[in-house]
Amino acid sequence: MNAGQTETINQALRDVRDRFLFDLDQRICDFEHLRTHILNGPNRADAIRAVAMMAHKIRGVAPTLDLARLGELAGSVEDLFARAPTYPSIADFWRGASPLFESMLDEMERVQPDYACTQN
Amino acid sequence: MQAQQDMRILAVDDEVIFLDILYTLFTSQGYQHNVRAHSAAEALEKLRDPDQQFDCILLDIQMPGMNGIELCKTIRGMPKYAATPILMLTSLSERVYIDQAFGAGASDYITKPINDVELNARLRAAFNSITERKRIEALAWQVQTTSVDQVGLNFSDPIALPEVDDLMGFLALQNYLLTLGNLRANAWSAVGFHILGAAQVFANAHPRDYLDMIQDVGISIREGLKTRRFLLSYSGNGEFIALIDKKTPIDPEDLQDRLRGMLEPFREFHLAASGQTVEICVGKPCSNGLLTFASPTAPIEAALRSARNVPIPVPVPAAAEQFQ
Repeated sequence: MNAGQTETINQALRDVRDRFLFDLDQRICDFEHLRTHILNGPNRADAIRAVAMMAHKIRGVAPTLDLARLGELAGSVEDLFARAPTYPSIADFWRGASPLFESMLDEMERVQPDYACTQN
Repeated sequence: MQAQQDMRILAVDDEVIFLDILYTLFTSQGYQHNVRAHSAAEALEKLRDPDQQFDCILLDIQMPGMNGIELCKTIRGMPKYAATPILMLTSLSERVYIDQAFGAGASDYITKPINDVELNARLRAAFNSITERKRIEALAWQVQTTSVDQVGLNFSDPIALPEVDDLMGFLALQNYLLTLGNLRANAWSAVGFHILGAAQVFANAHPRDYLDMIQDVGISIREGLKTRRFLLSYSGNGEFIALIDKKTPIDPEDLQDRLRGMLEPFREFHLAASGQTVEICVGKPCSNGLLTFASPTAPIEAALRSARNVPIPVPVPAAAEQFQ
């Protein structure tokens, strides 16, 4: 593969990355919604499984889009949330898991472009 | 399909961004015929469409509803995709599913996050397997219809044996061991089966009779192993290889005796077809040590070597009995 082709791929992947970042708000909302369910909902175990699944999806795409840190955090969240059934209670689990969960959300917010600024 | 880039590829993943990444990598590498599906249901709709045909299928494992492993099994049940390369898209966290995926008929896997070099290498391997399968299918057809001299069947061809249920492709079996790595592959023993006289039958019999003989042996091996957890493949050269779970070990000599007994009813047929009877030799179970730099596939060659070195049974001459 020559330099021109590599640049073509990189440009195409940058377009995909832009789409991913543009939709990141929706993913953040979904995670926050699931957090509410984990804390208060009737199906807390289902919400934990859904977080693991969503984190799994981010883990699979973020590194290819040059978002290595987000990929790592999503991977850690997936692994930890997949082990939730081994904890004595959901409250115990959440005490240990929430800092990592919040770090992932922080990273998602950090990598988001500031669309308001770029439009001005 | 003439070239690798002409492959018609179906990619199935519920993550739209991942499909976008795949599409980007496919098109940048010249694969123009790529179709995407966002769920198992959508994939099955496309696969059942008589106007569409795919040469290679990529499946995500974790999908809502029917997951990739179930989908793989369903696809394998469709005659037109029974032998199509199916590559599973897995992340490192999903290694536990890889056994299930190969058991469901997967041919290979690609690790997420994906990169263009790995993707292209896996697609090249898929293309090579398609080319080889087509050659073997053409041979199998010729075997049914033409004479020995006109058929380009080689003794070494790992030809398809449709009458032996659940036979795994030799390449898929090797991929499976490579996927497991030495540590996990250590749960399996490789056992080789060498057919004594197969080369002579190949040389003297009609290819159809030769194939029938190989299938008789394959069916007998399956029957002989049925109480074990195993994977079986025909590797060409009149040889089979089985991976047998170490939790259900075998005694090679006992198995060999039983297999020879099972082949007894076929003796007359083999003799009539080629003027030759065959014997089966079962080698010793082989596996790598836990701490080794050898390839995870090394036990396959060791197992086949062991089977080739089993002493040839010598019939006791009638006269010898007089001295006992």
